[in-house]
Amino acid sequence: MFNPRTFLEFARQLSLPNLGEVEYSTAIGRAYYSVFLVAREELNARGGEVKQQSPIYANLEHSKVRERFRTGRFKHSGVASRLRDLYLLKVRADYEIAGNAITKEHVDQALEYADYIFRVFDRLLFRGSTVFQDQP
Amino acid sequence: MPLLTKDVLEAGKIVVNEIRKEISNGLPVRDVTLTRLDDYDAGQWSELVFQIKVSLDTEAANEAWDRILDKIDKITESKMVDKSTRAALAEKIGVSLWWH
Repeated sequence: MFNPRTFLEFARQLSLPNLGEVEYSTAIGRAYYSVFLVAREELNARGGEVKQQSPIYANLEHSKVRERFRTGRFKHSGVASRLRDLYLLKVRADYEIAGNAITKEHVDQALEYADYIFRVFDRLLFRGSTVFQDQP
Repeated sequence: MPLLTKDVLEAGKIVVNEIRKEISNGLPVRDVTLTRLDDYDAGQWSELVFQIKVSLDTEAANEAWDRILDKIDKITESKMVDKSTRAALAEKIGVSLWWH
């Protein structure tokens, strides 16, 4: 299985100084999907039931994943809050076309959110995971 | 359904009080804004979020953020406030830190 964490490394490559909005927007999107896809697969493997069978309802997966970190056995307010903010940066990066909507500052903050979330995944919520065998 | 209900306003007062305490204890705040955030993909959630810009490094900012969330969680899980305000605290009010 492809490990979505590699998206985060790609995002880091696009976070260097003096790059443009195309690179920075792409970096934020990859950082978000790195976290979202790992969370979705890990939650689903543990009975979290976040994956939708029909692609028509795939857009519900974003809120379902976040909901699992807000209440219940995967509750972690730190993860839920950072995932919300990372999602909103992703939305801004995807849809806002006004000049300077996304800067290096936004990318740096997005990467910090992703780093925190993965630390909690590895140390607490999904410790010892076997979903992604090549997980660092 | 409107987001800004009586319960959400009550929950907001609790969050403001926690932020005020943090500032009194030295949290170096540059700016605080209150923003409505929505689920852009499926319209499943909306939240009022206090977005706090701070002058801290990553480790200190993450610690401060978790400390604030922990305090709010404790209030949400206690019987210190009524049930509807607790629900608003859990689902409709958020806190966000930004340090870059």
